Parts: sequence; C-alpha cells; structure tokens
Amino acid sequence: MNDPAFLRNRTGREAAPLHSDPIGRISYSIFRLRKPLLTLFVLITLVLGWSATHLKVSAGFSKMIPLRHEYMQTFLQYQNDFGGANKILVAVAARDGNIYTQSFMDTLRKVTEEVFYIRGVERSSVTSLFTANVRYNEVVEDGFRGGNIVSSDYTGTPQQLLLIRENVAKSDWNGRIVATDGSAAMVVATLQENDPESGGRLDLQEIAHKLEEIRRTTENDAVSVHIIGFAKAIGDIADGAAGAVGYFAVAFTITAMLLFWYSGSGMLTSYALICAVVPVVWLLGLLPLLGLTLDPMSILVPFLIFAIAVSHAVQMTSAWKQEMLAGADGVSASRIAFRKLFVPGAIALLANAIGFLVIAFVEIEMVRELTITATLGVTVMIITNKLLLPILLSYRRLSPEQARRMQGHEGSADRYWTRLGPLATRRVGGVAIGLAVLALAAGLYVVRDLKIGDLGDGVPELRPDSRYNQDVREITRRFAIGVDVLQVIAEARGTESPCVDRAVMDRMEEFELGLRQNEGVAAVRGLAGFVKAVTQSYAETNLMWHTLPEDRAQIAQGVGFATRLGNELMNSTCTAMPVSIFTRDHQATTIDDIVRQIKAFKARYDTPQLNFRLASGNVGVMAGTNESVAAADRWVNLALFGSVGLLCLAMLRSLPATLCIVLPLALVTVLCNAMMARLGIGVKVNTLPVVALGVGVGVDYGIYLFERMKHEMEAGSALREAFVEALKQRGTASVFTAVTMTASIATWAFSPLKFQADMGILLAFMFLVNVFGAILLLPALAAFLIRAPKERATE
Amino acid sequence: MTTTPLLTAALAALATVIAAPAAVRAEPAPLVISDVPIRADRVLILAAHARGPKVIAVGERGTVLVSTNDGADWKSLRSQKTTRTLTSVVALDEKVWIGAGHGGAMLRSGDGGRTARMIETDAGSDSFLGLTVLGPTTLLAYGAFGLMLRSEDAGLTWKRQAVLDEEFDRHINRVIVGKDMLLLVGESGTLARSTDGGLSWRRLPSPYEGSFFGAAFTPEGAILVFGMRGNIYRSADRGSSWTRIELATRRPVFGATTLRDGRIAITGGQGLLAISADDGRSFRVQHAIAGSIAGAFERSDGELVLYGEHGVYALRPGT
Repeated sequence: MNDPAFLRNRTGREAAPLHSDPIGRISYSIFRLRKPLLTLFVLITLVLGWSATHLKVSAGFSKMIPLRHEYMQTFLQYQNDFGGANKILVAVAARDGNIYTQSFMDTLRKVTEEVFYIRGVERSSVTSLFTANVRYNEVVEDGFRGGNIVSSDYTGTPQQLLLIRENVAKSDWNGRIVATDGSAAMVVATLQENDPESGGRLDLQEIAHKLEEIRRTTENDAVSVHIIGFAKAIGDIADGAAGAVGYFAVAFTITAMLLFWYSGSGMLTSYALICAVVPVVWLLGLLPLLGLTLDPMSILVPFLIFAIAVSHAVQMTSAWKQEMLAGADGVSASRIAFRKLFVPGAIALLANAIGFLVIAFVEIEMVRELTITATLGVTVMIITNKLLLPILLSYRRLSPEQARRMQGHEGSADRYWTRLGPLATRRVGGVAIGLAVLALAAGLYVVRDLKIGDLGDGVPELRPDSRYNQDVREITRRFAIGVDVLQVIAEARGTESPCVDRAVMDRMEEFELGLRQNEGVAAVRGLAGFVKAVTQSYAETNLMWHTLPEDRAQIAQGVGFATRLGNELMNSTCTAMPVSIFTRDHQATTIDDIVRQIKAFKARYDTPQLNFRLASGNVGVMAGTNESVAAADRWVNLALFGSVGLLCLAMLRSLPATLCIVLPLALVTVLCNAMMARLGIGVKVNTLPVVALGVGVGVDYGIYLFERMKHEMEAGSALREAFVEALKQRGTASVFTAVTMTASIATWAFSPLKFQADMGILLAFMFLVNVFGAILLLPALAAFLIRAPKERATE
Repeated sequence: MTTTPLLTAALAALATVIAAPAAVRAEPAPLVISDVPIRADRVLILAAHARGPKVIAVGERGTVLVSTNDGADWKSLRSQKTTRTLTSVVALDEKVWIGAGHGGAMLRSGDGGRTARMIETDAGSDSFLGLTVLGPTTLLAYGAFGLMLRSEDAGLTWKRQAVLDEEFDRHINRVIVGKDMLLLVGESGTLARSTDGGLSWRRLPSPYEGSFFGAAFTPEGAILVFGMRGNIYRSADRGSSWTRIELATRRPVFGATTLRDGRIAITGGQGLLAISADDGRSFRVQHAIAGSIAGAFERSDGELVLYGEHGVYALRPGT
C-alpha cells in the first residue's frame, strides 16, 4: 500500500493501466462480477434484515461487572448466601402527609396484593404493613411483648388506625417500611432468580412494566407511587434505549439534509445513505445469528457505524463525481474511485477498528460485547462501502453537463482554504503551536479534576431528573434507608459458629465503628452492632448496655436473634458476615475514601482467623468497576496512541510526519478529558470508549490531509502550497464529514439515558475538534518538523 | 484480674498492646487519636463529667472526648488499654480522672486525662455502670449483678462491699449524693438509701417493678427516680413515698440534669428530651431529636450539651 507508483497513480496525473497493480486487478474482477455481487448483497441484506427483527435489547447484571476483579470474586462467591439483592421497593406516599387513614390503608393493601401476584416475586419476601412478617416487639417490665402491626381483624376503624400508629412507633419497621414522618408506606419484595413458569432468566423488563402498571392504576389525587429497585432501573434503561430508533431517525434526516446540500444530488445522497444503512442492517442482523444481544450501551455502535459509513460514502461519491466531470463512464468512474480510495479508506477503517479493539482492555463483558459489535460493524462496512457503493454507482452515468449541475457545495470552500496557507509557515505556525501549548496547559490544569467513576446521584445510567432517580430521592428522603450500599464480608474461621467468639465480635465492632467515622458513610449495619442492640433490649433498653456481652452464651443469644432476619447479617454456619456500609452517595471520591480505609484496616487487622473481604452491594460493584476502568484507562490510551502511531509510521515511513498527525490528536484527547472534568462526567465504562473511538475516527482527517500534502511535496511543491492543495482536495470533505458525524452523534445529547447523552456530547466534541486539530495544527507542526522537499527528494 | 485468651485477642486490636499482662496494663499510656480518628458526633457517648471549663466524656470502645472550653469543642481520644465501652467518668480534682465500663474495665488518669492506666479490681469481667464521688479521696464504683466497690485512696485500690444482703444480684444503675443521704437505684425497681456514706444500705419501698436507670435530687430537695417505658416517680420525703409523674411518652428515661435557672431536663431513648419548670412535678416533651440521649449538662452559655447514640451535640433547650 506504500507503493509510490500507486500513490502517484491516485492523482491521475501519471495514468497507468488500470489492472497493472493488485488493487487494480481486484477492482477489475469486482466490476466484471457486479451483477451476481449486487444480487448477493440484496439477498444478504434481506436475510439479515429479517434476522435483525429478532434482535433483543438486554442488559444483564453480570454483563455489567468486571467478573475477574477481586471484589467481584467475593461478590460471586457469596451471591447465593447473601443474594436477595434483587429487591423492588414500591412506596405509596400520601399527598396530604398522613398514612393513617382508611383510604390510604386500602390503597396500601391493594398495592401489596398486586406486588404479591407479580410473576417472579418471591412471595414469602413480600413485606408491608399488611403482611404477616411485619411485627412489632417491645420490651415491657416482664420481658418482651409483640404482635402484628396491623391486626388480622383490621376493618379500618379510627381506633384500629390509632393502634397501627402506636405499633409502628414501637416496631423497628419505622423508617424502613413506614416513612419516618408517617407520610408514606412501602411494599418491599425480593425477586426470584428465574421465572417460576418458564424456568429461564427472569424478564426484568416485564417486571418493570408490571410495576409501572401498578403505579398507573394507583396514583391519584390522594397518593403518589415511587418505585425503585434493580429490575425497575433496568426496565427504565431498556425502555430508554428503545427510544434509540427515534434518534436514529433524527440522525438519518439530518445526515440526509446535509448530504443533499453538500452533493446537490438526490441520487448521490440516496446512494450514500443506502450504503450507510446497509452495514447497520447487516450488523443488527448478524448479532442474533451469533447469539448476541444488543446492550443499551452498545446501541451507540450502529450510530457510529452509520456515521462512519456516511463519511466514507461521501469520499466515494465525490471521487466518482470528479471522474464523471472528467468524462468517464459509470463503470470506469467507479473503478477509478474504488482505486483512489481503497488505501486511505482501509487505513482509516483499520484505525477505527484499532480504536474499538483497544477498549477490550476493560475486563467487563458489556465492554467486550461493544468491542465485538463495533469490530463486526467496521468489517461489514468495508464490504458495503468498498464494494456495494462503487457497484451501485457503476450503473449510473452522467453527462459532464449533468454532473456540473449537481455541483452542490463541494468546491465552495476553496477560497477559504487559500487563506489558511500561512499556517504552514514557521511564523504563523509558531503562533498556532503557541496557542495549542496554551490550550494544552489549560487542559492539563482542568484535567486534574477528572474523576474515575460516577459523579451524580441516583442510578447513573439514567438522568438525574428521570422519574426513577426522582423516586430514589423521594424514598431516601422519606425513609431511613439508603440505596447505595457497600458490603464487606467478614470471614471467620475456627470453632463451631466462630462468630460468637468475643474476639471476632470485638474486631467486627472496631470495623463498624471505624467505618462509621468516614465522612462518606451514612450508616453501618453489621452483626456486631445488631448483637449490641439485642443486648440493650435484654437489659430493658438501658442505653448503658448497648455493648457487646462478655461471654459466648450472651453473644450467641444476640446472634440467635439475627437468624430471624434470614441471611441478612450472616450465613447459616456463621462463618461469613456481611457488613453493610450505607454510603452518602456513590461518587468515586466517596467510594475511594471508604475503600482506602477498609484496605488500611485489612492490612492492619486481617488474620487467618478473621479477615474482611471487599466487596458486594451496588457500591461494591462500582468500586470494582472503577478500579478496573482506572487500570484499563492507562492501557487503552497507551495501546491506542501506540497502535495509531505505528499505523501512521507504517504508511508514511516518517517519524516527524507521524508526530504531525498524532500530536494534535493527543491535544484533543487532553481537551476532551478536560471537558469531562468540567461537565462533571467521570471516566467510567461508558466514557472510556469515547477517547478510543474519537481518536480512531479523528486520525482519518490527519491521514487524509497529510497523505495529500506528502504527495504534493513529492511532486515538488513547497510545504505551504502542498498544504493549500491538500485542503482543496480533502479539507472540504473532511470538514463536511466531521460536521455530519457530529450532527448525528450529537442527537444523543437528548437521550433519556445519561450515559448515552455523555457519550454523544463527548464523541461530538472529539469528531468536531479533531478536524480542526488536523487542519490548523498539523501544518504548523509540519512547518517545524518536516524538512524542505528538496532535501529529502530521495524517493 | 485474670486476662482470658479472648480478652487478649481483643486487646491485640490495638496494636500497641500485643499481649497484655497485668503489669503492662497497669503502666500509664497516653490517650491517643486512633488511626481512624473518632468523630465526636459519630460515637456512642454514655457519660460526661464537667469540672469548670474542662469536660471529659466517655463511651464506645474506650473513646474519651476531652473539651477544655466547656463542651464547645471536643478532642477525640481513645484508650490504648481497653476496647471496652466506658459507661462512666468522674473527676476528683484537676488531675485525677477515673473512668469505668464494661468487661470490668477501669481507667485512672493522674495527669488530667493526658495518660491513663488500667486499675485492677476484683470485678472480673462484670460491667461497671457508674461511679460516684463521695469525698476528696472516696468513691463508689458499681454495676452489674449487685457489684459495688469502694475506694478510699482516690481510686488506686478498690474493695468489694456488700449491698443490702449477700443474695442481692440486681444491676445497680446509679448512686446519687444528697444533703444527708445516698440513694441507689437499679434493676427490678430496686431503691435503697444509705445514711452512712454508702457503707450500709436500706431498701426503700418501690412504686414500680421495672428497672430504674437513674435518679436526681431536685432544687427543692425532692427525689426523682426514672427508668424504662417513661416511668418517673417523685418523692418529697427522702424516698419513703412516691408519686408517679405523667410523661407523654413510653420512651425510656436515662438521665436528668438541673439547669441553673432551676428547671430540670430529662433525656432518654429515641431522642427524648423533656423539661420541667416545676421542680419535677410535670414535664413537657421537647421536639424529637434523632438517637437515644444518655444525658446532658448545661454549658455556661446556657446551651444544653446532650450526649448519647450520636455523640455529643449542643442545643438551646425550649420551655
């Protein structure tokens, strides 16, 4: 591909026989077989289009976590013991602020029953004021007294309502299923792992829809309904992702309009669009055949494929049109366009593929799937863009007169390009570089604030003002429960039921006390604290006895009470005890600080008899993910710039030239990170691919431009003239491509899913700013790094 | 006191004490800021003692909070000698401070709370629930299962003494000092009076079979005893007869303190704070505060410093 003869050929100035090189021979046979090939493509498109209708959008929990991370090993090991994390919480809130009315209680009973009958709900787990497992206990003079909070003969009399209110106050359910201010009550249930009827994986989206149905039929002037839980979050995310079709339509329309304005031809516009849609159809059709589903996160990939395909199609159609203007017939024009664009196109797509592939450094299945999907898409694109489009074009012919009429705006920027010429001189270029260095310094200054992980509250995938996140805030405000929990498993070994050992409990008490001191911790719930509370109850609620008892028998008494809570505080053999750390939020800094403290505790106190293991709970998963992302971040950037650099080096055979292309990319990457820091977007699974994709796509501009400059300089032009010529030939297409891709990706900024919006904004930034880096900075760098053509006229 | 293997293992939690033979435990060691500094509002505090502007409060796992400005600011320290929760603290003078708690833990500081050492007693692992100063060098320490110790040498050595009779095994929750008598309250309605400085005790008739957690003399010289489930009783005749005081809550009452204006504040479970302006004949329950409140003391600026489940915090009492 670096054959100088070939490079010269592509300008058309030194015409060689079309079949004299490998590319030419391939193109020759392709166009000889254009009919069967076209039929084949149509058939493939039909089959894959049919297959694409079977594609499912699904988000699995295990797909989203770094399974090989140390924390997730702990999580997986104890998943069965302390599973039950898949909870749904349905809060019914009285708008006038009081639940102790007959009509409210009727509503609560109705909601309780409806939740009970949702398929997949573990029925014994359903908990509300109207279930038998909700009791109150009180310490009285002669011992303990207890009963159901709502008696079985409840009919709704004022006396009964008053009694319920008193019983709630006595029970420890206050704040858990009844709001601390008495303004709301909650129905809590755990979901089963599998569908009880089909036996397959539970369809969380269906459960989310049923819960939404409960909300729809319950909410009125008197009550509001707030629903949270993993299943509901997943359902809302999947529903949000389904809205992608709408965004695709918008992006498609924008692209079509821009294309038409640019090319001035309905025919060329529709051909370009067809060839951009076909790889998307193929990709979506291949996924079900390969047994893959589309993750909400990967939904961006078809968009990217579409955008990239459009940009390559633009190159192809404009090259074809130029040949037409020169008087070629359809087949010849297509053949020449194919030959001209095969190398830059292949290099560009290779760079894209590298951008996608390096993301696989993140050991999260969802990210790997994104890699597979994206790589598959790029591969498919090579076929559709490099074969289908030229074949389609070869059936058309235009008279030069017709071609001129569809001039469009392709050449309209030429006069501006000439004005940019001085950038390729040391004097003006030095100013440009100086400004770039200032931008770099500013970027590096801002980028210090860049955080790993999620920075907002609520479910990070959804927008802060989404209904779900509003419900999270509403429930955490009214109830004394936290939704962000980090679980640490204390593992004890030794005698039978080692947890009743005073020394074991003592260490756990120290752990709980220490964690409670952390600024980011709202509450800690563990076995030691529970035993202390039981001890206080046995001492007639005297606060003085809120302490660990001295002897095993008394500790065992407290542990015995804990068994009534099932596996919340320990496993059946009492060798593993989860300590739940409710965090104030799940911002990365909060998590980091807590994890650092736990690690320090472990380093100091872990023994073979008792050790503490990170981590479970949603914050535990986030901690593991953050660490995986942070670890991968370095490698992704290193591998990305390394491989893109090598690619440029291989093509241009010049280190200074490679630097001219890679340095602007690096600057834009720093600026992108700075923008993330400014916008409060953390480095996370969703944003990690952005830089990789941005660089992978952004390098195209530099490659196109520099490849032209190099050629002009080899033909004897000075740097400045070579630059202006390259801009005239490639600059307009590059800017148009950048604008088109930016416009279609930017539609994501309006997505109901926050991570899609983040990705959309950042990718749009990368696509757009990279082209300016290539146009403004590349020539300035070249003015300093590239020697004059005469001195290096060795080729 | 013998050091059990369990206790040894527990003590190893504080790295400065690997093994803790009695001789080592008896050496004074500085109270320290622990590797994870304790926050004054995130630790269980069970007792506080103010001596002029200096206040020492004690609680969860050997935590010692020290204030030198009347409870406005606190420095959080921990004992290196014990991980047991401390339930009581008293001062004999500027220098000598004594704290006691669960597991028979007793700490003595001879330098105003800079360092402290363990005092060996024959309490075994029984819990201390209170300390009462009777004279310049005389104190009582008491607690679980009828435990009562007496020291005549400012807390250096202690001798066990009988209470009521040999069979008495109820928890002793509080001993308070009046003009001409001591009053003892405890588990199962236990009430007793001593007129010889605590050497001998006589049982008083009890109006209540539940436990009393504390007691206080009122400005007018009456006695208040209080305990579980919102029970408060008042006696104007040195404990011979009792009147039940109605409280609009069944939350337990843990502490009482007399304010400078003569009002009485009681504190208790689930944020109970109630004020009496009539010498304890009636109480008005204040707005709810989170967490159980073990007790309170009045600062010189009139703010009430509460301590309990959520450490120490100040508020201005209502009426």
